[in-house]
Amino acid sequence: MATAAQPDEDAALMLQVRQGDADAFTTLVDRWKQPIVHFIYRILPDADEAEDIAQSVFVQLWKSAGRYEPQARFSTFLFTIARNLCLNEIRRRNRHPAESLEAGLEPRDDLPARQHSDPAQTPADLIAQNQELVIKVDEALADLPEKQRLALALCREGELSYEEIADVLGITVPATKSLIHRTREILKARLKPYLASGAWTSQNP
Amino acid sequence: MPPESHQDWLDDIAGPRPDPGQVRRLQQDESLSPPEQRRLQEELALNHLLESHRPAPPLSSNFTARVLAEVRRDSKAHSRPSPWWQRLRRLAPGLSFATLLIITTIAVSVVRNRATVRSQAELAQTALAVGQSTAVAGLDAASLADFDVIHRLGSGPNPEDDALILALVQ
Repeated sequence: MATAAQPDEDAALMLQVRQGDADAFTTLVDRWKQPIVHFIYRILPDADEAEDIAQSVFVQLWKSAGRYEPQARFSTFLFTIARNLCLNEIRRRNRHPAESLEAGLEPRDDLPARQHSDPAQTPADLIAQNQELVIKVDEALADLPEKQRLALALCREGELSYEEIADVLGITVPATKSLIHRTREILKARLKPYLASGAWTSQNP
Repeated sequence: MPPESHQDWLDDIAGPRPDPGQVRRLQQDESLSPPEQRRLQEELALNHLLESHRPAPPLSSNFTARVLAEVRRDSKAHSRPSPWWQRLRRLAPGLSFATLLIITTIAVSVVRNRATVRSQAELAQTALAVGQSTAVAGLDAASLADFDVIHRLGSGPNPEDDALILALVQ
């Protein structure tokens, strides 16, 4: 994984976090914030909401550090928390479709405001080249069942192994391979005209 | 590359963390059959499409600081002593159904026992009053078998009642 360290190193840091070591926790947050935000953004494509949920993931990691057993891979432990919070948010949205995550949160004067280093570069600018394809891919992904969407996001964004994805999803490795294969077949069928035409190449910024 | 491994390699490309070297070798492999070539193109196209679709936005530069602030705020909230009713509320979910049942049973038994003791004390007082009244009036206790008569005697000796009983006897 590009941003994550060796599993043993993360597990050792997590044991320090279990003893209340804030520096070890900061190191883990810095290492894993990017993959976690990216993973959540694939499930809930709103940049601010993805950050807010990612923030909750790390707060939850701190709170549940006492339950961490070094036998478990750190990535599995972390992505399981992220998966659970994503599922909670999806279910909350299904119950209250008109509300965004922000609507459910109280205003927080005690936390520093979000700061973007390059506010001019937004995802909207990057994807403006092929709006139709973006919409089609959005629709295809949105139509996927919850579990398939999670499996695909873990596969593409989390950059985890099949074994780790299986652990996070709570299913066997063969079932995970089959789930990802089925998901890709569905997407290939729905996006066939675009894949064949090479329209996706214009998506690259 | 042996043709029997083509399928496995194509599966790897469709899985997590595809190896770029493996992808290159497959693209250059002239022994791929036309269906395998098609699948390779489709898998690579889907990979590119998913990777480039809605690129993840840049993270806010103070993300870690925000997380640490939230953790500190949460730790403070938990270290502050909470009022007794909040502690009780936190305790209640921890109690099992069996524990609650035992507590309820004990509470009901205590209340019922108190009621029994009270009624026994009242009964003793009444018996004493009857005894005193019959002694004053020289009555046989059997003549006071009627509950209403006993009830009207009240809880202590009453001079008016004594006079009435004496008059009735005479």
